[in-house]
Amino acid sequence: MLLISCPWCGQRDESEFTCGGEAHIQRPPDPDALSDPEWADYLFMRTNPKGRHRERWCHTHGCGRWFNVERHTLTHDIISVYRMGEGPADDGDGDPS
Amino acid sequence: MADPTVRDVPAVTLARCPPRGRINLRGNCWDPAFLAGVASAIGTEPPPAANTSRPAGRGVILWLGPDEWLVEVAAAAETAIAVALEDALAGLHASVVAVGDGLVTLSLSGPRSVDVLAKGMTLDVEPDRFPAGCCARSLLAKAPVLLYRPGDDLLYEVTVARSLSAYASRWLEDAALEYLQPA
Amino acid sequence: MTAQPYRLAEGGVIDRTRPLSFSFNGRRLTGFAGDTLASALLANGVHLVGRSFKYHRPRGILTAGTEEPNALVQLETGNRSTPNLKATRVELYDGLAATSVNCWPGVRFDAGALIDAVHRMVPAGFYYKTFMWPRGGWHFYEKLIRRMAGMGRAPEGPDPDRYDRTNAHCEVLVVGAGPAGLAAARAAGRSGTRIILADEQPRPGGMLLNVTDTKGEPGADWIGDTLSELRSMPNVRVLTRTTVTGYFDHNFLVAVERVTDHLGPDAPAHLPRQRLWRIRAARVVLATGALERPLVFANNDRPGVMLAAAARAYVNAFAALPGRRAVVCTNNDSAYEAALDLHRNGVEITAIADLRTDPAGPAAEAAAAAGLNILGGHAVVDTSGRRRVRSAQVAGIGADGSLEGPVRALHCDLVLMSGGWSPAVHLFSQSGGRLRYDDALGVFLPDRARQPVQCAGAVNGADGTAACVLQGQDAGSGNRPAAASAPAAPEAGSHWPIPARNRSGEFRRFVDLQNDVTAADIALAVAEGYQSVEHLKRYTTLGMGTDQGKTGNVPGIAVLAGSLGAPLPAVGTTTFRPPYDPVTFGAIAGRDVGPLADPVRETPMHAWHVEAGAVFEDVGQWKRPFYYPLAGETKRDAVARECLAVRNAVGLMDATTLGKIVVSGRGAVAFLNRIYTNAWDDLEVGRCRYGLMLGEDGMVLDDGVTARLATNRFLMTTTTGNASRVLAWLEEWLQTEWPDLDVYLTSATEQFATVALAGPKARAVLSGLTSDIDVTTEAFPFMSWRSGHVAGFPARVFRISYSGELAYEISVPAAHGLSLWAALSRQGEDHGITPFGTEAMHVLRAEKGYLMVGQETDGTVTPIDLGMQWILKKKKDYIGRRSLARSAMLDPLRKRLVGLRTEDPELVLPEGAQILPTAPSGPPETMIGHVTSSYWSGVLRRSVALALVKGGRDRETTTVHVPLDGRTARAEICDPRFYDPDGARLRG
Repeated sequence: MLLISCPWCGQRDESEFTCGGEAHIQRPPDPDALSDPEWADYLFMRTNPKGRHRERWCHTHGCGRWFNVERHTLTHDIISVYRMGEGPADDGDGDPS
Repeated sequence: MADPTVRDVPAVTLARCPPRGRINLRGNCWDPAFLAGVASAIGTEPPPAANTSRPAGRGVILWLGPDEWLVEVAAAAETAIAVALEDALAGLHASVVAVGDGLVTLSLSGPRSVDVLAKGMTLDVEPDRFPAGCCARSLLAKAPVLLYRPGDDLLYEVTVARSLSAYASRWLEDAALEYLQPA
Repeated sequence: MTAQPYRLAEGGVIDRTRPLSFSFNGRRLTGFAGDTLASALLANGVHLVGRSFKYHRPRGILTAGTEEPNALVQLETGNRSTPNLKATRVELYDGLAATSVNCWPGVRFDAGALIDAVHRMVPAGFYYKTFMWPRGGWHFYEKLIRRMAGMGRAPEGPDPDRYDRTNAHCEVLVVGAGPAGLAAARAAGRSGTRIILADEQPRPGGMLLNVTDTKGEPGADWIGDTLSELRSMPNVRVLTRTTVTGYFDHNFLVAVERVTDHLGPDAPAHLPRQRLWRIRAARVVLATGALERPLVFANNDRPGVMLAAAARAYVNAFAALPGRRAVVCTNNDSAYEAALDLHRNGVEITAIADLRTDPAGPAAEAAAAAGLNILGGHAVVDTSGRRRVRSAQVAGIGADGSLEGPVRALHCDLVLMSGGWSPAVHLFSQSGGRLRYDDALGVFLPDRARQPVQCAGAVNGADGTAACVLQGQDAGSGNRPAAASAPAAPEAGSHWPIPARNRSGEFRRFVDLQNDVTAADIALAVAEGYQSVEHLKRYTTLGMGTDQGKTGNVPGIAVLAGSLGAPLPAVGTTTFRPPYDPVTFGAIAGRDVGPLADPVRETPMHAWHVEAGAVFEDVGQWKRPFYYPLAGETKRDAVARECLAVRNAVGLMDATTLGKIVVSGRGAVAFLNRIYTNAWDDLEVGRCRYGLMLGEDGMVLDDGVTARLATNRFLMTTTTGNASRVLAWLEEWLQTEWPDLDVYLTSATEQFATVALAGPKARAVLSGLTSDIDVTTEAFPFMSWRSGHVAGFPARVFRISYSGELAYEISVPAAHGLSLWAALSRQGEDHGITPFGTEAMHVLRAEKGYLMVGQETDGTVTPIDLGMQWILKKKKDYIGRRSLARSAMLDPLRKRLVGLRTEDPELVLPEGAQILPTAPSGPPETMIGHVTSSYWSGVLRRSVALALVKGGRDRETTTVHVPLDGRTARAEICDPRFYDPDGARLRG
């Protein structure tokens, strides 16, 4: 059970949150301009790294806000949390250990 | 015989509060016009800090999210205050929705109220961690709730969707059972 | 009252003034308050406690704690029966009834023991080699094997006890209340922050409870002082009988408190039997101690063969003598203390066989001074005795590890063994911490931690009470505990297993006593290629019992290392996983059982439905009336009657559960345009419109009617089951993709009670209850809404229809829902108003060919598949639009919605039935679709069905075949609109 720092409410139990998968995937502004494979890439393809991963989470049973979490998929360490529209504090993508 | 003082103060008391007026308020708390509009309608600006509340006239305004609050007033005043808020916020990006009928408040009090809540909540609700005036949305068992501690007493208000109030109430009764001596 | 022949006259924590009666395998026995079942059995001279898992060999009591592999019992009978409890952990209460597991008809004469006679035919991997033949034979063998091997039996009915689950937060969680844990809790507690100290024993003190002579180190007085200081601190919570069983991410730990287990079935009913603690700790101190290891010699599993420290615990803490004449076999100093304590209490120590050639140091000196016979370079190499050990065979062990010199049989009724100590690193390892092998100590020790956790005391390699206390103080204060001191004496590391005296004879040397894994099994597995410790574990089942190999794992690793000729650290350990000790399902479930298993949501009209005798249907968490049977009516009768009432007169239905979302803000129209497939710009205030919502993959997500309340304010409805999912989905788009759009969403589902009033008489009923809403069709046309008062309550009325009839949906504040319902019922009496449930609603909409999300759709169905191209915007973008243009979505052979008219009008096809283009000819059949909805239609006097079929309505008028149980139905593909296809009725 993770302990996640909501950027608004502070540390809360994982049970209050919903994970929305990989963060920073923008909806193409003109979907018609995309080929079928390009559209499928947006729709279905996600990275699945072993290590640092940026995800978006929603504090569903709290303030209801979506935000970003940078999480280490191996250790579950949460490296940073940041609000929608913000970038991570540390832009490195190496292994923290 | 048991200590008479123990009999006088039940370890935990669960009660269903009378109906209240409640207004869900959305708006931008960095917009001075929004703050002023709210203040003109209910007598106070919405609290900007997470999980805090402010007295508002005879009621209270509770923080729900960075752009969302719950105004609690007397049941009879709900419509008038909703209209006052709508008027005061006309032209601004804001939302005023009366929700008093959709919510039920249960109160839990007594020396073991913290223990009863802890059974269903992952929130740290001990008195010094959840001080007077503190409020937070979370889960009680499997029901989404708004927890609010109005004062320094060991009294917590659990506000839950009307349809879930029977479940929440039964759940709390069951959780409190071990602190209530059988007759 | 029977005597307790092996009970000492004084000493121990037992209360001799409170004798307790109990039964074991039907035999009445007596113990004392403070006993465990194991100590009470020993006090009565009972050593044969159970039979082993595979060979059904007689087994006794090996340990005095949680690590016990042998002494498993079934406690009590009936619904309260609990299988596989460790007798060493069961606290005695008056009237306790326990039986042995793994034996039939009884523990003394066990038919399964025949397996023991043929044990050479059941080696490691026996299952895999034998029961896979013939192909499919496993299903036959499994039943027999389960009966032979089965361990205990499940309780016979629902558990009558209450279980609790709770959450706790603390700054420091200390696990284990031995010297290190107590010292850590005290040091941490003095800081004033919240501390939880959890210990699995009924009394704090840990191993100190088993020691009478502390030789000047902290002892009983120190425990007493420390405990009273801890109990005086309001910030410290001491949990006894509480086992921390799991260490998860972010310092989240789970513990089980056995609240009333020790009171038995007479425990107060208002108290939970067990409590699951879910603890979030800022910092954890693990003071989990160490577990003594057995030695691996031939027939080391007979009743009466016991770990040395366990014997010491029984004598000192429980005043129970595990025997009168003992042989000791050890590779370290700790067994000497046990031997001396037993010796002091009158047990004859025949010999101490020490694997070390020249035992020296204070322990050996003290034993020698007491006149004990120490045999350096010796070991027990075999034992004899059927249900109880009768003799131990002792021989010299040469420097090369082979047997040396004559074998002497020493008469005894107790063999004590000590193979050294394994730090209880289980929780540390679960936390993600790495272990390292310490050559000097010969143990795996905690190394690098991954979470905020420190280890203190024996788990950290500390030796002796004083060292443990010091480490505990350091860890409790938040300092790094000092490194472990050098061991008192090095252990012999090369005697795993101890050589057997006779290679051709009976010489099973057990490594895992619970799963009957021997040294020979490990050697065989290695020879067959299972050389990784993880493979070995799965092939031999080493360490896979209910004890998870707490005693046997390290000896097993040592034997494996020996077989491979590899150093022990190179072999490594298997992964430590939760739980440390078995957890009951009751504790995991807590109070989420029975009526509280899942929230039940009820509408404001629920009481009326109950009163009316409604049969309810679960829709999500909601209870919705399914139908309202009259006396003697079947479901089909009731549903047909309800449907006909709506078609011919008027019906009312509770529609409160539909999701309602207020959409407000300047961006509301743009928002609706993006999330619905149709356009919303031209919707006038006062009107409403049906909308279809897709996922970005183009599949139908939800549908519903949305009304324009004001220029920038809409009320959206969703299906009952999708209400919260849709709100979350909309919020996600708003917050993550379109933060610039000025839109706020507020759920209003619970605010309103909604009643659907449907049927040709609906207008008449409504007009009688409102004076400020003009219900004429000119003033209030189809797909519009009006506000005013209904039955005196402020109301919003929508003229929309899901039944195909003239219909209104009336919403009032929820508090008035019941009154509104009652008023409509009264008002409609003269018109024959009939309450109808969800089943009638399903029939009515299916007669009209209306889609039901979740029934016609399953996440793979597009609007085109449903024949709803009319609702798709041509030019502008919306969620899911691009996906509809993918080539595969345009395939004419996709399954599409059709109606099905059965040849036999009486036949109601089962939903989900497969559809074939031709009569079945034997598998594999060509399947072209399936039935999605199917009902008896009272108004049409025939069955109606909707289906998804490849090619869809291109197949109209063709006949398809639906295989049923034993026969095949024929049906014709048709227009899904069975009733009033032009919609004249609903506009009237």
